[in-house]
Amino acid sequence: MVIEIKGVKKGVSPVVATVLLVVMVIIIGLIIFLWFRSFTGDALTKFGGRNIELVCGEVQMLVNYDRGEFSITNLGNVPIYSVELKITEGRSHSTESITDLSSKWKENFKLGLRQGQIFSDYTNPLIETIDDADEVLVIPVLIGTSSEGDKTHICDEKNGEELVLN
Amino acid sequence: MAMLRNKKGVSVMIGYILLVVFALSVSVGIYSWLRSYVPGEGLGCPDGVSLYLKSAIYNAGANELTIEIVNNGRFSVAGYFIHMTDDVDAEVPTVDLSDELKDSGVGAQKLGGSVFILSGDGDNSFSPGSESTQVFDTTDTGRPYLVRITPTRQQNVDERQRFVGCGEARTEQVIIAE
Repeated sequence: MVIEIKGVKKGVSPVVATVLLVVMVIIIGLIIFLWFRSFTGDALTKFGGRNIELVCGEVQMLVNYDRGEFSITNLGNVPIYSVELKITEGRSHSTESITDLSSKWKENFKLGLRQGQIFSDYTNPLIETIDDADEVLVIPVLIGTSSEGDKTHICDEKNGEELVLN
Repeated sequence: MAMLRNKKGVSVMIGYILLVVFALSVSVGIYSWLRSYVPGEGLGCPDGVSLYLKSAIYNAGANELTIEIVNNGRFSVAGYFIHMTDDVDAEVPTVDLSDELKDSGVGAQKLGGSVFILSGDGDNSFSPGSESTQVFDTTDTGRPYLVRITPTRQQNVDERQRFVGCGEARTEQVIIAE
């Protein structure tokens, strides 16, 4: 009786079990990787594969506001595609793009502010916006490359330049 | 006893292979994810690049600004960015003067938004110790009160020639009227 039961008892062979294990590990790993990547996003790079967040730290710009004229000088070697102005009025703040505030930027700096270039403007609504503000932080916007093509990237506030208001 | 004899599992060798393959695939995944975060060599000039503005004289009658530049650094440079202001009280030059270079092609020429010095062979032809004089037409820009010079270089970065500005080596000078 015992011998008959032993003969009938069959299962998956060790080779099949190993293959199954490997396939399962790969599939689960792939699922976790794709799920995790959706959180981190596709890495934007610039200058031959360097993460754009690192490149943001290399932006050198001189921002100035003097008697109704706002200027940005690109002193570094990173082209500044655009800038965002974080405007603080009292306890509230808003963020505006320079392209929405200055027609001069839109017309003359479509490709951004290259190294050594200067943008200056004294027209409204840009100047009106700055005059009404208590604090203005100028944050660079760069263009980076990803697997989906070129994309803009707004740098962190720590890479921004505080505008000294007279 | 019979059940004990039939007890089979993954062999030690396959266990090792699985472990190694798993560790390798995890490493490759993490490497490709973090690779872009590895800090590399940024675009910039070497320390020791310096241009000295020997003189900057404005001729009101001729509407001309004449500048004399000396390379007092340790490296050759390609040229410079030049910016000025026509406001006597302004502290930051906001006008690009490179477009107003007179006699472009003789001794220096316009290159993008910069002045490229034609002093010798090579991309960085303005060698240490050399002097160069350029004249700028200020008819359209107004009387210059302050001028700023930022050296530029052709720099080999990642086996590619790149045009870089040396922002750290910029220099400013108040203009004297003749």
